[in-house]
Amino acid sequence: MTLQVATRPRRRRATLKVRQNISEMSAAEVNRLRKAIEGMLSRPDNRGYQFFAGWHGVPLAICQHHNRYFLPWHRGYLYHFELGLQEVDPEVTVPWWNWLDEPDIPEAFRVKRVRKRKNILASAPIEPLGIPRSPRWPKATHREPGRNPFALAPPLREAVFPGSGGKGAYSWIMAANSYTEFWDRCARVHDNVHVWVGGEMMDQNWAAFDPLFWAHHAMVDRLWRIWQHEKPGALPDHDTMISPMTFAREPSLLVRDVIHVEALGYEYAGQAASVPGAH
Amino acid sequence: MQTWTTAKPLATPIDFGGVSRIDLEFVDVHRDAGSFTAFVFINAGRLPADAGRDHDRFAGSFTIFTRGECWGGEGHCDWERGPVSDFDRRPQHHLTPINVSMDVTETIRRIGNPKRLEVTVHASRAGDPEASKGVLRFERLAVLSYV
Repeated sequence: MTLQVATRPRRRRATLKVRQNISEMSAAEVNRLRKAIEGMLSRPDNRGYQFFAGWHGVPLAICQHHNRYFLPWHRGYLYHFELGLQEVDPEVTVPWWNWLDEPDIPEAFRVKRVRKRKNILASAPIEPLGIPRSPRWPKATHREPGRNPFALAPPLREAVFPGSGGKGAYSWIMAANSYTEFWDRCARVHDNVHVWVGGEMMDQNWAAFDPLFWAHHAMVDRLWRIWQHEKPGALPDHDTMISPMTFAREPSLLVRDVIHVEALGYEYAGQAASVPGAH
Repeated sequence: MQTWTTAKPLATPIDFGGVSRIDLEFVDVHRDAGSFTAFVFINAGRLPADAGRDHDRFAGSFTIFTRGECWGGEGHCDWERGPVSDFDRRPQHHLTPINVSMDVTETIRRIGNPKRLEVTVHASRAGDPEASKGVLRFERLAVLSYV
């Protein structure tokens, strides 16, 4: 006979991880990110890159856009994806693309080859999980920045969006006085970036298969984080806060579960460095 | 070749001079034909093909990021299908039309608080800037003012 005894779980202090600006990361850090993505791509199951990309597009299409769930759903999506990355490499986080200040797609995502190897951040295969492939589907991601001349090109900090009263995009977004106003402004700038990048990024069906997608959404999420700092009381309304969001893996999350990024294990920084402490 | 869509003039009973904000609202904008950008002009008359953001009657633009070609089976992208029963609590279809509003206060002021509005829109499909026909479809155009 075996006696099973319930023990109290051991407590550990949690350490937040830092999401960094991709253009401020060292070559070693970017290569580590590349390896983590390649590691996810090699997993043909519900831990793999294609699985997560399929939540947003083919085949699951459970993303939220143009409504009050846009920001929290994508924050939860990044949380799940980042855990997938960290199953490959616990030290890797999703980087952010500073399209407010950078005039182009960051170099780490643009260069075709790195050390004679294909740069996975420039183009990734599209192999949706669990659904027969159609010959009409794209086989890999590509981009055509600027091909859509009607979308505003980065850098967008001073770009004037309609209704901004002449304010630059950043000041306009941050001046939002309510969550409703804030998500709407973020969504408009976000949509513009997707369409400016072009290629698969401009189609919800395929956008998340492009590694740039995650950096784009980390930037949107970062703006929400900054705005939360500046307007700490400006929460979504109660009904929104207690709404469940649909994801294809546990944990399921309510909107209120993703309000505080610390609870999801990360913070944002331009750069991060540390040295061992002393005892 | 760019083509332009001009809505019927909207005779507005609103005294624009006495309000603090004016919104133009595109009601039920369809999202089932791919991402696009729309340029909106007010009381612009005949527009040259290359009219852009620097045109003095340019009121603003909006970009909608949405799904391209339907990849599913028949009816997959039919956003008009409603709940299957009174107990169907699932959210509405992802392609259900949305309303898009634009604050056009500055433009209205600049053109002297007119009594009638004529709105001209150029919508361009992402990835195919020359395609414009049928790209922007919506059910109604409204103007709203706020004191």
